[in-house]
This record gives sequence, C-alpha cells and structure tokens, in this order.
Amino acid sequence: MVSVSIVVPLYNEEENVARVHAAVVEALAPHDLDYELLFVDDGSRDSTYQCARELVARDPRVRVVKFRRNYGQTAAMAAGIETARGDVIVTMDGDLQNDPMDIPRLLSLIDEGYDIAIGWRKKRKDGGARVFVSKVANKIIARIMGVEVKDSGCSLKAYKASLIQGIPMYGEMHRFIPALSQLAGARLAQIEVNHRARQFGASKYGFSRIYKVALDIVSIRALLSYAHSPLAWQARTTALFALLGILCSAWALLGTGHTLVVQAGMAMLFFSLALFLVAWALIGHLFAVVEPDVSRYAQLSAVLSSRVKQPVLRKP
Amino acid sequence: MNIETKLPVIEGACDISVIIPVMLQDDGADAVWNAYRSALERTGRSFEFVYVLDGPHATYAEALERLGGAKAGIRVISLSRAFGESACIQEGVRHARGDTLVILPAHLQVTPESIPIMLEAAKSFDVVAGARDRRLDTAMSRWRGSIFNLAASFAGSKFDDPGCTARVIRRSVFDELHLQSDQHFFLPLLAERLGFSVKQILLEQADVDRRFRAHRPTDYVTRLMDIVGLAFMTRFMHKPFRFFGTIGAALLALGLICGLYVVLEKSFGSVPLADRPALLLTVLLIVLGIQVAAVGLMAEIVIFTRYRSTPAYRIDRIVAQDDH
Repeated sequence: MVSVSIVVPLYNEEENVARVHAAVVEALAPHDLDYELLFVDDGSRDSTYQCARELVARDPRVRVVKFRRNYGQTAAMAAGIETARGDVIVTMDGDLQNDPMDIPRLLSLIDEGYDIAIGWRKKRKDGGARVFVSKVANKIIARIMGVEVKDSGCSLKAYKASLIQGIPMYGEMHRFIPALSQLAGARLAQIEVNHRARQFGASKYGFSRIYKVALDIVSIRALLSYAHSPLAWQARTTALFALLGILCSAWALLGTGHTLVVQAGMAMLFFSLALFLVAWALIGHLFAVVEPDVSRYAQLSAVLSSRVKQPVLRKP
Repeated sequence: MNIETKLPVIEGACDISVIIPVMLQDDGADAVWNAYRSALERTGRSFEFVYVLDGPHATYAEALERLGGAKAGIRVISLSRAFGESACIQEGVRHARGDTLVILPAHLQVTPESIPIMLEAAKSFDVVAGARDRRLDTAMSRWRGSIFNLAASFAGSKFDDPGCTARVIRRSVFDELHLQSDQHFFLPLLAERLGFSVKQILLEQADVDRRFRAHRPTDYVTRLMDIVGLAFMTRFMHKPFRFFGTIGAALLALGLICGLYVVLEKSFGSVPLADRPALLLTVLLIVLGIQVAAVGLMAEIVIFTRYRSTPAYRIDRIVAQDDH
C-alpha cells in the first residue's frame, strides 16, 4: 500500500531525472514511508523518458507516465495526480528548484490534520511593476475567493488524495486549487520552503491576465454554487429579475398613459430574462441528473467540512 | 445512418486501403482510378479501393462496375443520401481492411506521383497531410485558398491548405478520432491534438486542379461555420466562459453606460425618465449581456460535468515494475 505519491512533471530534464530521484530517496530515507515517485514525461524531446525508464528498472517505487506529446505542465500535473495511488500526493518541479528535503515537513503538516500544505519561496527576484501587478491580482483573488496564497508559482505542495482527486482539473482550474479546496472546507497550511537559486518564472500576471482571472473567478464561483445546488444555484438572480419585472409592470400600470410602452417593454424584457434563467436552471438540473460526477464535488465538501470543527465556507 | 452496402468479399491480404469519398465534384471515375492505381502499383504493395458514394451517384457506380468492380479490388459503399465528406470517410474507414489508409478526393488535387511520396513519409508518421504547391494555380483559386488558409490559421490550425484532402493515415488514429460535419478539412489538426504525429508535405498540384472549381454559396457558409467551431474548440473548449463572458461583459457595460447617460440627463437636463426609449435600450442590453453570460456559464457546466471525457492530455503509456 502506497501512502505517499510524489508527482514530478518532466520536460526535457534528462540530466535532472536521476538527481531528482536521488534527492527524493535521500530526503525520505530517514522516514519510514511507503512512497512512490511518479514521473510524468510531458513529451520531452531528449532522453528524459529513457532515463526515467532506467530508474523504473532499478527502483520499484518509480513509475513513469509518458505523454504522447507535449501538453504543458498543468496537464502533466493533472495526469500525475490522476494516476497517483498514494493517500497523500506531493507535487514538485522536475528541475530541482524545489528541495525534496522540504517534503517531510509538508507531510508532517498533513499529519497534523491539514488537507493542503503549500510551500512558498521567501526570496523572489522579480522586477518592480510585475510584482505590484501580481500582488494586486493575488489580493483580488484572495478577497473574492477567501484565501490568500503567498506564492502561487511554487509547485511544491502536498495534498490529501481524497481532496485533490475530487477537484476537477481542466483548463485553468489548477490556478484555483487552494481556493477551491478552501471553499470545499479544506484546511490549508503554508510554509516557507527552500529554493535553489535559478531564475523564476516570475508571476505571470499582466493586466490582461487580471481580466482573464476575473472571468475565471466568475465561472468558478458559478460552478461551485452549481455543484452545491444544481437546480437552485441561480435562484437569487432569477428572483431579482422577476422582481424588477414586477416593479416595471407596476410603474407601467400606475404611470400616466402615453409612456406605457417603455415601462411595459422593460417589464417584458425582465420577465423574459427570468424565464430564460429558469430554463437554464432546468437544463443544469438535467446535467446533474444524467452525470453523477456533479454530486462528487458537493460530497467532497461535505466529507471535508464534517471533519473540520469550524466551517471555513465563506459567503461571497 | 441508412446505408446501402454492396461489399463483395475480396480475397487476399491488403496492406493499403484507398478511401475515395465521391462528392459533388469528380474528374471522372476512369481517369481518377487509373491515375491512382498506376501510382499504387509502382509501390509494389497490396491495396484495395473503397469508394464511398455520398448519396445517389448512379453513373459513377456504373462506371466503377465497368472498371471491374470486386475483381479489380474496388469496393463501393453507397450512402442513401448525402451525409457529407466526413461521414463518407468514417464509413470508408469502417470497411477498410488495410492498416494504412490513403484518403484521396474523387477529383485529382495532387499528381499521382505524390502518393508514393506520402506513403514513404507515412512510415514514420501517424498522419501525412498533403498541401498543394499552388504556384501554377489560377489566381482566383490561389486567392480563395489563401483566405481559407488564413481563416483556419486564425482559428488555430497549424497546417496549410486544409482544402487539400489527400492524406495518408494509420488506421489506429481512427480508433480515437471521430469526424463530424466538415471536420475532415482539419483532420491533421484534430489528430495532432490527440497526440498523433503529423507531417505536412508539399505536393505537386495536378494539372486538372489548376482551374477554378466553383462551389455552391452554401458551401462557403458551412466552411465559415466550421472555422468558427474550430476556433471555439481550439481556444475555448475548456474555458468557454472566457469567450461568452467577454461578449456578455461588453454588452452589460454598454447597457450600464447607456443607463448612466439616461439617468444623468434626467438629473441635470430634467428630461423625464419614462419618456425615453433609451431606457428600453438600456434594459435590452443588460438583459442580453446577462443572457450571453448565462449561456457561457451553461457551457462551463457542460465541460464541468463532462471534463473526464474530454481530457486535455493523452497518455501514451505508464511504465512500472509490477505492471509488466
């Protein structure tokens, strides 16, 4: 039985594969752990895959997931998490920017009862304006989503498998894993980790990025409320527009005769919107009925929050 | 799908299946068959021809019968009505026996000499897509082709000349690839997204292709819709709200500006609010914006519920000691 899976995405890291393996083995040797090291070869063009395969032959704890072509780090992480067999999943970079020596510290946080432990790098070498934009963006996300992540670019994280495998991972979802988990009632810990000197992909937030993230936040909030109540998730919006329709009708009826057309038109538009929203809600309900996956997220949050003493779920 | 099948049993092994969907345009059954057959015979490999007739093509079927039918290694599938080229290709693949599929149009687009070149390239790639060398084409065709090219590349296509449907494809590609509507134009791109190796090669254009072929006006409309669909799929499949949300937010913002203007005019210019049709426009824009955004959220819900069936990656294999 594997208790910990360490997921490492690799893209053209032939010289680092063996080093990552050695470093992880060294870091976990003092601890009596049943772990697996899961390499995800993201369609590397060099001999990364061959190097990783040699490790499989030597060490039964190593597994390799090979992609057909390059799909990017997000996809590689998602595939690793999906394939992992451990109860706890640790993700880290394949270029040894993260120090495997930090893994036991993250694991001890999980043992303390946290559902996610996130590493953050204290010293960052980013330029001024970008840091500012990044900080503003992070603050906005923190405010709306109710969780502040100190360093969203750090890959070194540990999760409970039941949590991370229950979170849908597609598109830009990975960006919101901490927020999604917190909304699902997970307990989150952040600790400072080592990092070895090398340039960092500074935060990727530009101004257009903020706009995209804003759209993503809207859709993720909608999806969350949908997952919690597939039929009634937009009931409040619907009620609001129905109410506006009623107000406009009243205005039309009480107002003086010749202006009736405008108010009646407005009332009709509001009513039609409310009607359409009801129709959409029914279609959403239909999806929830035909696809049992939808209830998984709601169940996940129920399971997690039942373990947590104080509800972490915050209202928008 | 209602199919009338006349599939004679053909004895013997078969290495290459040539699939020819017969659509509205063809350059005559005899000429095309002779050109393709002589090119294939030179490769020295065994082959069969699978013709898929899109709807009734009585004269074409007769011509194929005259060419020798089953005895000459020709199999004919007749669809009961026109289902489009993608459906024809799917149907042809279903009945093909070879592991290497050569999909060729029923009109000569590339010289027959291109077929051995493509087959050679197919030894190291899953999909070989032909692109015509159009230097000698008519100006009109070139112009039209480059617009199609441009639109396709805007939609995310990396391959030139989507209109050239001469391709060599490994059969296993079709275990995962399912073509719909007019997606066959973007077959190389779709295969690449599934993680197959795709090679584009520049081929010599056939002489008969160097004249202007007229299309129906509806064809242009369908082509445009295909490209819009492709763009949506390649860019927004896993984040549809980025697309709908942008449009919705723009409409909403317009509505709010319009509303602000009406309110300001009432406050400062004392124009009565109830008299303003602009108020109606305000509400219309807001309602429309929310409506579009709601469509986007529904699209998100569709992806959310079905994301497992549209994975963003394809795993080639998982290597572990205990598994093997």
